[in-house]
Amino acid sequence: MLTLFRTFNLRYLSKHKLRTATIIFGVSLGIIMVVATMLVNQSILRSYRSLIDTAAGKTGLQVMPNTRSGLPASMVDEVASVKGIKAAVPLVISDTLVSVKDKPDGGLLVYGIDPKKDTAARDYTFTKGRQIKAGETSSIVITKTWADENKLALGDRIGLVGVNGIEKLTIVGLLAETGPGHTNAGQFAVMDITAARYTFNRTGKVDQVDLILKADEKPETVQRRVKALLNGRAEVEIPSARGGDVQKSLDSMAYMLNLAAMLALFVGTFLIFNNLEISVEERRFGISTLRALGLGRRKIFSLVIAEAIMLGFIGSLFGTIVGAGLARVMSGGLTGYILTMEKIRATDFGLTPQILAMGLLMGPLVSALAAIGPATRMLNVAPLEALKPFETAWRPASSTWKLIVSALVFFTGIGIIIAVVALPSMSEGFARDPNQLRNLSMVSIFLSFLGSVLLMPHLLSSSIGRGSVHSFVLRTALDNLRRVPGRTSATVTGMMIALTMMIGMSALVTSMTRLLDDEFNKMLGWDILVQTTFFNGSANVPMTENFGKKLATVKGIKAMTTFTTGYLKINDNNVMLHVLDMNTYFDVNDLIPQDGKHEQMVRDLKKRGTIVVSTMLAKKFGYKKGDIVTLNTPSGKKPFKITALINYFSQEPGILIVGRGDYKEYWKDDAVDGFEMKLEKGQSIAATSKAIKDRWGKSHGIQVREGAEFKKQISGMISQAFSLNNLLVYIALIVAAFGIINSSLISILQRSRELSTLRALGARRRQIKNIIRNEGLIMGGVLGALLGVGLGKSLILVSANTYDLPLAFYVPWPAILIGFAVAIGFTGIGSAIPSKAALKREIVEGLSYE
Amino acid sequence: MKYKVEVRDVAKVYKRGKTEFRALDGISLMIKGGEFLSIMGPSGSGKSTLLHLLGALDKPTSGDVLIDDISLSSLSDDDLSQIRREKVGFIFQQFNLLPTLTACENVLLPLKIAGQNTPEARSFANEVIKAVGLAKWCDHLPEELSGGQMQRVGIARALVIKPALILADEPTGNLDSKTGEEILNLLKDCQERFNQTIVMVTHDAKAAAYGGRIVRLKDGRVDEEMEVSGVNLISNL
Repeated sequence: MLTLFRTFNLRYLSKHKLRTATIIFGVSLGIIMVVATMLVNQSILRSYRSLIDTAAGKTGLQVMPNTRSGLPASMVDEVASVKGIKAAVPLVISDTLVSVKDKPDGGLLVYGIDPKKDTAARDYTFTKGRQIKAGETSSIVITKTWADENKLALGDRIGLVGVNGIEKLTIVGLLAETGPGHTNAGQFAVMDITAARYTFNRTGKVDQVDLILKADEKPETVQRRVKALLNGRAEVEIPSARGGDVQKSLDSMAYMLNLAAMLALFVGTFLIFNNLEISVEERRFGISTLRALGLGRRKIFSLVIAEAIMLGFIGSLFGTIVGAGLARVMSGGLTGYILTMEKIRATDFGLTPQILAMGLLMGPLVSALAAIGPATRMLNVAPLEALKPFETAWRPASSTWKLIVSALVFFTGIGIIIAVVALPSMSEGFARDPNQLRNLSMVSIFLSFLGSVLLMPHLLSSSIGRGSVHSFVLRTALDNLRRVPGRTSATVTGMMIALTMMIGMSALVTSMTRLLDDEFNKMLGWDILVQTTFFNGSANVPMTENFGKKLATVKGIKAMTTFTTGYLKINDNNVMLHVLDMNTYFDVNDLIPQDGKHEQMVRDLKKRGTIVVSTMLAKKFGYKKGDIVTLNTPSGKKPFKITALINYFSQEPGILIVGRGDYKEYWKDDAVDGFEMKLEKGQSIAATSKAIKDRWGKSHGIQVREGAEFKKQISGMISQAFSLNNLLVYIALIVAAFGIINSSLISILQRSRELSTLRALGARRRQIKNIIRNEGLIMGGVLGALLGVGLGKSLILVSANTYDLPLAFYVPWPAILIGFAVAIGFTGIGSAIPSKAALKREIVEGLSYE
Repeated sequence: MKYKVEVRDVAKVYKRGKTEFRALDGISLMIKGGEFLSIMGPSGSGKSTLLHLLGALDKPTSGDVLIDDISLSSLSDDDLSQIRREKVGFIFQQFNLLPTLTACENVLLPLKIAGQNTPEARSFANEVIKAVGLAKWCDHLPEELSGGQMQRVGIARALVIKPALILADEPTGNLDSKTGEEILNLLKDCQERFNQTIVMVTHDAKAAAYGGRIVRLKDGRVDEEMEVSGVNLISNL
């Protein structure tokens, strides 16, 4: 068997290098995406756990605020008194901006520690220098890693952006890369807690309390006691059990990646199938000779499957290696969002045995599955029959049961889409959670894809009727597509997937951008925004109300309002919290209530104890206008009345807006994240912005933004979020072009005699070329693009319903036109090779082809 | 219409790797207009190669083929296509029908390729279809036809463009003797009725006897030429 494999299979593969490479590429494509997605997920989770573990040290429990506003410092002693706790260690945590050698240098995670108490929780190892001393307010300890990256040494000074401007601190110690020095991949520093409180507006507060438990105390038991004591004022968690939030963020991020990986695997399988079919078809003569010489069916089948498994394994190996590399590239873009919330940086991309096994086994498995069809087809050919010259027979009718199954799959998919889109009450009852809705949508999209592939042969047979087309070239092309509907539909699907991704995504981006534009135009009225936060970065340093008073003295400002952002834990979900000053907010910006009762909403919001929630959040938790909801605040559980639901585009699970008065009282926080200003009529935005920047830019590390620029940045962010998708679109298009090349090659191989007959009857080379090109164009450009637009539209509808956003479907004409042009272009390239191959064969050779 | 085909010292050499195979080795032949010429010879004697050169399907390695005094070797690929489209009708042993087209669609195919799907052309096509006895089978796909019926379609397809030259490559090779006889009678009838030149390659001496002249090839050369009356030849064979 091995000898046979070597002489029959390996020799063929080495002779047809391009085809062999294409099969390997097809396998790799799917594996790359699957491995990369799994690695990114795993790496983020691992990094997060590593952050928790390294930063937690000997900590048994952690008390954390259920929002960003911090905890009262008195809580440290309060929880220290709980039975079973040996020590309570306070921490002030800030992800701040830093300037090195007077130049801004990105973000740095800073722990404000009490040096005396902190030794109970963490063991610090120094490569140089020492730990900061209690009350040493102008010193800082950084990691050796970060020092090396920034060419810093002991005694150098770095600047931290704080609420009072930039604080300069002297480096007194360098942490080794173990224990706490490993935190946040080394982008980590330690300073005195008193200095940190002053710098980061945490007077009388802490951001976390690490609890060291007495020996023999179970964390779960003490956790229950602390929870009872806190009664919702803060969260208490076991460090090793943390990660649920990251998992949720990852689920959301991974959705697109999983979808892309699934499509890549699907397209890859199709590529493998097509290539195996062509290679088996090419060896039909050899295989039938082997059969005529007495080789059994089972052995023939095994030879074909073994070849597929071998190629699948090589593809898997290649895909796993490239996938591991791609994971690093992808993580940069994808973790941006997670970083802002969880302060982590994915670094560990090591392949675990599970991912390695998955990567290496998936290729052979998928290839073997894809090979079953071609291998079985070979078995059905009798030895004698196979030795005769072949022509693909015309099979006019397909069986009814196949039609029924295909239609069932397709309409089930479409049915679910309709149920999700058109019957909100039904979908709400069935799955209110956006995650469930999204999964449901994914299943429905997959089913409709699969259904359209299965239905394609039937559609082709019935829609492309005989006799209705008079052009001989077009008619011949159409006839050939009808003759091999299975192959045609697989090729159409390849192009359809590519164009669906291209058109669907473009429509989604267009719709989202327009929705945001609309929201901005209606809601955001500010001309200038002052922040210390990086626009899309990880650091967030609040400012004080006093600074606002200074800003208000700038000439030409008509009105000014503040905003503070944070998060709030509701049912284990991190809900975005927006704190707005309702007394000034409507002088600058606006909110648009879903029910249109604007005046009533403004009036209500000026009263205390009122909130506004986004429609997405309302859908998730079943909130309605007028409901009273109880929120956990550092001052305990407080009731709030929902005065309005607003359409507000945000990440899951939505946003909740609370008045500044309530926030200051219940959250005990007066920090401001941004000042939004409306200028007097005729006042130059650029000049005012420059004046603010000149006066406070350097000393306070502030960023001054103009409205128009902000809108542009948001649009840019949306496009950026989909940039990975664009890459996938191009991969899919290339794969689709490969599909067209393959289909056309098999087709001309099988129709060699036919094409030569046409030439013998006087058909010009151009006519033959056009027949082959038309086949490609019909498959890729027309059917693929039409279905692509349809599925693109359903994607939009599903998204709109999932998030309960007023997303309108905008036909993305530019994308459709570009999609058609690209499809035609790729089809042209794809069919050029087969048509050249068809014409290369002499007429006489083709007529006697066996 | 009188027609003339001239083969001047034609050689055809095929190369397979380093091996050369001389299929035709300096053949010269004159075919008169309206003549029914049969070409015979053992396998590998060059019969089909000669037929392919006459039909502008292939080009000689040396020498020239002239149809109506037009030298084929000087023509471009498009011009050769035009010759095949307008002047030559092919009948194949394997029938070579397009499996997706019905019998009548196959017959009309050369007209569609030439863009001559005019009412007059279609009316002549109907006449041919009736003449070959296919009227009843017009809407049937090739796989629904018998071998004889398929060859009738092949003949009708060759006749429909009113070619001056019909080239038949073993037209009865895949048929039983009775059907073969019918097909040969049909060819002869067409030759007389439409005054066409027919060149037929065959292994079968009885079939060859339908021609007015027989050329026997051997090793790529003309071995023997006989000009006999059909009846006498058949009796001699």
